[in-house]
Amino acid sequence: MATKQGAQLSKNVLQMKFMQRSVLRMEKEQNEEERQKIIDDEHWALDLPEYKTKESDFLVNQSYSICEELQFGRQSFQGFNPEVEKLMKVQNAEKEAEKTEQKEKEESVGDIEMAKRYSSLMGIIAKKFAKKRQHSALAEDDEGPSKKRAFLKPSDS
Amino acid sequence: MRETPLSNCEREFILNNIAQQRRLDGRNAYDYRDLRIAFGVSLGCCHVELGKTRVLAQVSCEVGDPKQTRPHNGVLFVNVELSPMACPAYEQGKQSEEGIELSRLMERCLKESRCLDMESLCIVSGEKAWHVRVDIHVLNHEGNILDCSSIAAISALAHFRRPDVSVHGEEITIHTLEERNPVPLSLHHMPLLVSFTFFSQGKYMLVDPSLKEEKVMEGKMVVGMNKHRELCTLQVTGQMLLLKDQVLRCSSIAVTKVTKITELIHQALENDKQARLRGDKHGFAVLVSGDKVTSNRLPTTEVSVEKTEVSMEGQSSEEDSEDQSATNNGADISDKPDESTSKSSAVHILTKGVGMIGEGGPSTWLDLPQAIEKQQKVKKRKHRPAKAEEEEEQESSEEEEQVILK
Amino acid sequence: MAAPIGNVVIPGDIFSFTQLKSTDDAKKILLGPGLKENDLEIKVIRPGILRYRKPGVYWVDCHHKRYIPSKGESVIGIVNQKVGDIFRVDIGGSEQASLSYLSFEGATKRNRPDVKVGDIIYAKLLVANKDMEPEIVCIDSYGRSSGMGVIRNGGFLFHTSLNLARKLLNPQCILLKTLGNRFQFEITVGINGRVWVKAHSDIQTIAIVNAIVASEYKDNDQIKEMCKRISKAVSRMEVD
Repeated sequence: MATKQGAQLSKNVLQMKFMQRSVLRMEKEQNEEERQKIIDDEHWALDLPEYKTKESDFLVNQSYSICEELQFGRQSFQGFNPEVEKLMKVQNAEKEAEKTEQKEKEESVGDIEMAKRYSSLMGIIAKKFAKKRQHSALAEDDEGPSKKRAFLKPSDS
Repeated sequence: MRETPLSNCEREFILNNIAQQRRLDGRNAYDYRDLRIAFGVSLGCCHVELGKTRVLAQVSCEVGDPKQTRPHNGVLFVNVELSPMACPAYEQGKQSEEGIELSRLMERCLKESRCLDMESLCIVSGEKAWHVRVDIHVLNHEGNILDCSSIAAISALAHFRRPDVSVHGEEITIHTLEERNPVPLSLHHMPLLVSFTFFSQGKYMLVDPSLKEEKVMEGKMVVGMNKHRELCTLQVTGQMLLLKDQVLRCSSIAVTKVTKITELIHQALENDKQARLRGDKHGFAVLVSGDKVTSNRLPTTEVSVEKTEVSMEGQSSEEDSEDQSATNNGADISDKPDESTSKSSAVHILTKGVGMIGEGGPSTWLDLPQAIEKQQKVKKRKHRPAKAEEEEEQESSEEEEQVILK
Repeated sequence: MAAPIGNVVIPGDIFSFTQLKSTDDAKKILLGPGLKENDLEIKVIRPGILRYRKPGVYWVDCHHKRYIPSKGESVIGIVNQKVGDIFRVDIGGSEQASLSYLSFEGATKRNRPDVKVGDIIYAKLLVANKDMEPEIVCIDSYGRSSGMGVIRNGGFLFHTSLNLARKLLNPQCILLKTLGNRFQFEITVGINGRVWVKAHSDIQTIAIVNAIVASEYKDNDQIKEMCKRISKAVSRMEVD
């Protein structure tokens, strides 16, 4: 008992003035627990398997401007309103940047792929370094010194 | 629904332009918009378009008791309906202030000008008389409903025919339209309303205001007149003062406008009469142009035709379908149908139901079930008038959609 | 069977997920206006042409005149009323939108923006819900105006169909570029079918307005031809 509730203090200690705050806190916790119990007892719960909320395959967006990739609504031509032309440039640059980013994402290598490739590469590099430093030590627990190591090409995918 | 408010920039722009003798639609100050008058198939139905403003007037009649005060006269009733279809700001059922004003003005224009011979509408004095009713429906509100509805109402009255009635002693017979030709109402003259709008304390004046011009106007003067230069109605609304000269000038402008419009109405009535006599297409069918392209954003779909075989044997029983196929395959095939070599040509599906093969021009097809049956019969005999394999197939899961081209 | 992209669809048409999925390999499909998800099926709720854009965006392009507010769209509104701290702005929807005086660039409780009834405002929809009053703002999430706010100094506002407003902003439409080569002007297009135009002279403004209104059913070649004609006519008028 004592080991389990190590934090429990004796009555005498709790009556001391500097422990009053702790006492209050403990009381509060107890009250909270009891109240929770009452709420739980009063509430009915159907004993059903947890309802699966399947993640939808669709996103819904009722805006045409996103679907059609519409341009910025304010436009000025031949320097009629320089302020708006500046804005147009900024907005267009943002759109361009977004597009190139997306393109890059499509073309570049994914994180997982990268990790895979690096893990295989690391092994090779490690062995290479191992060869130089503690060749003798590695040679013993390797498959055997007689086997000639072939160059392992990193798998392209 | 709430009316769209007018923004300050619209108001300023329009007023500025009016001050510079310029209107947004390129008209001059005294110009009317394009006026089109069309009559429906039924008598007394008239559709008037003034620019984009559209009004439909329908005249009907029934036999009823004459008014106690005027036992020798028939009754004329005028009703103007402003539905939400015309403008979302109008409410259904509830007569707005604008609606009441319109109704009253129309009533005054038609009744108090005594254009309609009311005594001829009496059947038995003090007992039976014709009740003539003019219903004016505003279909689209783009400004100047008043002029438009007055044209529609008077044209509809002129177009209307009531059933003939014969009285023998106590007995009254109303003849059906088949028994006796219906008789026209006796119209003495054609009163028309012309509205003038004033801007900047009456400094500028415009005829036939558009919706936006009506919103920025200061006042309005309505002149009712017939082609004999007789003034029938005059009404001034708005907060402005007019000079005597201005009123006189308005009335002289009204004379020319009314003469022109009356001429147009007579011409339209004559055209309709001739068309009815000849048995041509009449009514609103004329208004609808079938080949109107409303969109050009639908891309054409290319469908390749693998085989186009046409043989002569099928003509005995399936002549009509053969004819159809011959016409749609272009002139070169119909000239020499024995050329049964496989030929590929592009089929352009322009829209659903309208296609084009080669350069034969657009043609429509029908896919009625019986037509498909017929097609299958032809297929059994190994005559294929037109086999069109549509690459882009829609809902039907058949491996091949049969189309008959007309 | 693939979805009939570019063809007319009618309310009540149903597509399956695979039907839409077959055309591209996007993870999630974005359903735009006119399409509704219903138990793994997609229902068409507006008549029009089914459109598709990579990656996985589908919507129905249909003819509209009445604007339905939707979140994030930029619209032109007309200030109708000033009620305490908010403005009531007509954006063409069934209900008026509210605009707080604090949602302008640099606005504080003391420094109120100068907005009068009847002014036109270019703003973005912050809240657009079928059950709630729409709310618009004139600042972006960084507190900058980025072109939004009261549109001043004359010009002319006119109303078009919503299709035309979208067509003007479509990157493939060359109308504004072509007009921009011939005239010096400024334009603001709201997705709610309101367009504000300002040019050096009223004649030019009217010409541009008419060109825009006339271009609704024209393709790019016809638009080029029309712009040429209009600029000739305008230069002739201005000489007179």
